[in-house]
Amino acid sequence: MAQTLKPAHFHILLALADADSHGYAIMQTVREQSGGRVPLQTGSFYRHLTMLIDQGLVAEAPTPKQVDDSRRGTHYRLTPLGRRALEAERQYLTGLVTALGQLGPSTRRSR
Amino acid sequence: MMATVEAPEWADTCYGMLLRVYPEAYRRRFAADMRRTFLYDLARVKARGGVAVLAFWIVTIAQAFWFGSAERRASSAGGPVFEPPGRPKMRLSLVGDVRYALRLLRRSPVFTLTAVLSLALGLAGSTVIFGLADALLFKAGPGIVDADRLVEIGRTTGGEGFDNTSAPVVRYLAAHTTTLERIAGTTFDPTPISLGAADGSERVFGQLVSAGYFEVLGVRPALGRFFHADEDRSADSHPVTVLTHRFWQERFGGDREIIGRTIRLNNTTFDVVGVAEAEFEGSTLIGTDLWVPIAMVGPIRGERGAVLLDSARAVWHTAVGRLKPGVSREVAAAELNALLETFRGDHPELPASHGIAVAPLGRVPAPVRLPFTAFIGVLFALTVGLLAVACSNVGGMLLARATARRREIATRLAVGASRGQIIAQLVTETVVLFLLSVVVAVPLAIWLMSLLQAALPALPVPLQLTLAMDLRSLAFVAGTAFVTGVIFGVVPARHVFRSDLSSALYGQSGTSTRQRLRVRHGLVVVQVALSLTMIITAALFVRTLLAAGTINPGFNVDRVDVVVLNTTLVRAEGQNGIALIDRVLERMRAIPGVEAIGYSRMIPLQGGGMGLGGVRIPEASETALQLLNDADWNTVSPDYFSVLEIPIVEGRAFSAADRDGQPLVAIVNETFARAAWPGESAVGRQFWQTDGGQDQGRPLQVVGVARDAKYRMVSEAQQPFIYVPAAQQPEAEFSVFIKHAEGRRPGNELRRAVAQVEPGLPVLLMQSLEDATAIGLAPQKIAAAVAGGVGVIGVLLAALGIYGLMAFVVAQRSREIALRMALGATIGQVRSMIHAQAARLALVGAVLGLAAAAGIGTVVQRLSLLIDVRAIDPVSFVGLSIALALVLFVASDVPARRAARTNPAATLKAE
Repeated sequence: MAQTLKPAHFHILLALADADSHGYAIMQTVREQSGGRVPLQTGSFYRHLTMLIDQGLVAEAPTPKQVDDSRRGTHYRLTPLGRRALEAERQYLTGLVTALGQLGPSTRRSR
Repeated sequence: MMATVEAPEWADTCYGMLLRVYPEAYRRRFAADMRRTFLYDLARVKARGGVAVLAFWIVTIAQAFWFGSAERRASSAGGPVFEPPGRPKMRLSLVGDVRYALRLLRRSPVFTLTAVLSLALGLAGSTVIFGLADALLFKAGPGIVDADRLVEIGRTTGGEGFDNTSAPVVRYLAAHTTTLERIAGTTFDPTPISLGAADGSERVFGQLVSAGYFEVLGVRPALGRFFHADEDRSADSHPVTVLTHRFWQERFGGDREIIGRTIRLNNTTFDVVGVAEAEFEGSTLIGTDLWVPIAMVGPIRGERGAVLLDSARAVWHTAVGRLKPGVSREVAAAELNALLETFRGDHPELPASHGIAVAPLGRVPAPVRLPFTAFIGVLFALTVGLLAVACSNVGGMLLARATARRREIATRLAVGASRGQIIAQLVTETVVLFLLSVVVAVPLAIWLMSLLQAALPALPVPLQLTLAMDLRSLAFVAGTAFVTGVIFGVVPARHVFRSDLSSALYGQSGTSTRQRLRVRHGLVVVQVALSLTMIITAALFVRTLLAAGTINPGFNVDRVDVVVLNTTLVRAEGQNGIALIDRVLERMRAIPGVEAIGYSRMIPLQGGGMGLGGVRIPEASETALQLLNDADWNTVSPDYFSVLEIPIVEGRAFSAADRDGQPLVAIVNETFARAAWPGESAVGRQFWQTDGGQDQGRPLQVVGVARDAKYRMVSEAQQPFIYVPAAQQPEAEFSVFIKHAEGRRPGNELRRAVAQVEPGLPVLLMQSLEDATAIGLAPQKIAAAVAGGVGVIGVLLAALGIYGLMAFVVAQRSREIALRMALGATIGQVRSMIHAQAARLALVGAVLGLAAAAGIGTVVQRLSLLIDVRAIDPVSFVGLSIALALVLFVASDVPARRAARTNPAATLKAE
């Protein structure tokens, strides 16, 4: 499977891979994971999130009953389809990295 | 700056409103979460400062519009948004919208040009004042670290005010405070100092500061080090100095070997121990060339240093301090006042009324910050007013265009465009218009800033104020344009949808014309009101300047230069100082073109006065004495009156015979004479000069009465005044007045004359008396220029607005007008009908404008900025109302005449 996910979508899925989470936490994780290369603000983040929901990769999760999180609103989780999309992306990227590794140091010299 | 002050609720409400761009189903599902996320994010961004917050808001607003309208598209299409891989559709639509907007603007060049120009003027004006306010009130000086924990510490009198305090008090507070990390004394105004050189001396400025001064501010040395505590211990400490980076570069060519070298300041040798980091020249907007420890006040100020260092009554400097984290100013002030009470126990000489004031550190010194802020506030209000006029003008035009385009919009809706798409496109058009005006506004603002900078009065001290188009001003102008653009784009768009569009498709005018007209009426009323306010404000200042020009200050400033010298800087005090100055005068008289020379301690109209004690007159009434005790004094040379052309109306002027050892004499002014000895001659009378205490004082004999003059400022009422001979009551500082023949101004020969007599004696100031006395009117000049400029533009825009509206009304009412004419209305009746409609709007606007002008007038009067002009000045208020009425009449007469030209038959047939 070739790369199909946008960077923002990939990072959102990645942020949900370990645990369900709510909007702001996902947004912050994406920012940290990508080192700021994926610029997200509330408007664009929810745009991406609704696309992922529409594509069936992410779904609303039942909100845990912890006091701390009750203020944070809806939780989201990866759907099985989402998890598969992420895995496919992982394989694709690993393949790329391996291919680049075989290329050797000549690329560095040409910079 | 503005964006950081809003409360979270405010931001929340705003964002909630923004979210209304999204379709309702989407809002129900995500709005609550989005608001939460937004607020968390806003809190995070706030920590990064004003520019970041502004950028954040811009991105947020933009995203809400683009994504919101995209969701609307999706929901009206009845399914998820179709996303072709690679390139998102919504970006395509933004580019398309912008392209379409540009094409439309190109197609109506007159509209575009007028709108862009008027918006650019409003934006540029408010950006300049924003830059000024930012530089003066908000930005910490360069080099200062964590400015929000820094405070200025001064003295209150009777619990109020902010003034100099004394060296022992500052030392005591610094030693005992627990709420502040550190306190360091500092003088507010730099002292002129003579820097000795091989070929005479030059004047430099130095600031006296405590040893810990730089550490309090967090400034670092570029070279060497700052002061050690033992260099600021007593008058006997080893003299050291730190240079500013600029002075080091300019005067010593950036020579790194400067550290350890010595320089001669006021004939005392100082070791250069350090150079401060680049740009730093103290915390206020008045710069300096170098710093010396406060303990060196003796050699620097030429006064008796020990007294200044050790007397709690000698109040001559303030202090800066750094609060410990988490400590508020109020807590610190309470602690310092408690410490002062303890201090008072050992120092009963400390006046009981003295307290401690703690103010935030600012570039404008705390004592004058409030009037200063109010003044900037008035200027800012004026320029924002202009921006509002420009915006409402453009708003009116956009509404008219939206109406004209109803058919186009209806067609687009009919062929499947969503409301979101239409709104996004209309808003894009307006925002593009506003951003175009930013492109024009930025160079305009830079130009205006350079004008303003050039208009600043020539001050005798280095001013640390650079007006420049920096990132913050740029963010301000872009942010303001964007936000106003979105607002003024949304309003017409809403109106388009409120009307019945299906009728538009069939060429009928909609039913909601009335409502749209009401908005445009409101916009025109705003324009009339604001422009009237601005021109009246301008008139108040212009009339003040005119009044100030016609006020006779009571002395002559023509062809007079003033040179300020301080003889104690070369260790000549008392009669030795007088003798030295007499030798300087002798040399100056020999300069060709010099006609007459005199001197005094004080220069008139500098805003300040000098007291030499109280007044006791046994025969005067109690109320008269109260007035007379407030009299200002001046010590003058015999020729002072003739050089400044102050007439002696009775008795005689001083003569060389009124010298030390002779009977003490005085000359009083008319007001003094009238109050002390009403109805009688003052000449030959005696009064006693007291030191304010219990003793008798010493008798002074009045030998003459001088004509009343203005002493502190031109706007003052007549004040009592006392002149005494300088030779009998010598002071350390001399202001020498040199009158020259027409066209033969001496210039640097004066400097040379001083150096020939005493090479070490620095010329502290050399200026024409006209310039020296004009400084007091600088605020009025700036205000008159700003208010006048924005006022005239505002009036033109208001005229344009009323013209546009009436032209629109005439077009809308063409059928009604034709009917009326068919039924026998005369041309005159039709014309006056249109005029009456315009007049009603103008009247409402004028009433609001007059009320606002009265408010501004009252504020500037409170700030003592008006001279001989009342806050509600009938001439300005009535005169300009009439002038504005005339302009508006002409503007609405063009459409009125067009209405009167209506051909009833043709019009009715066409309908």
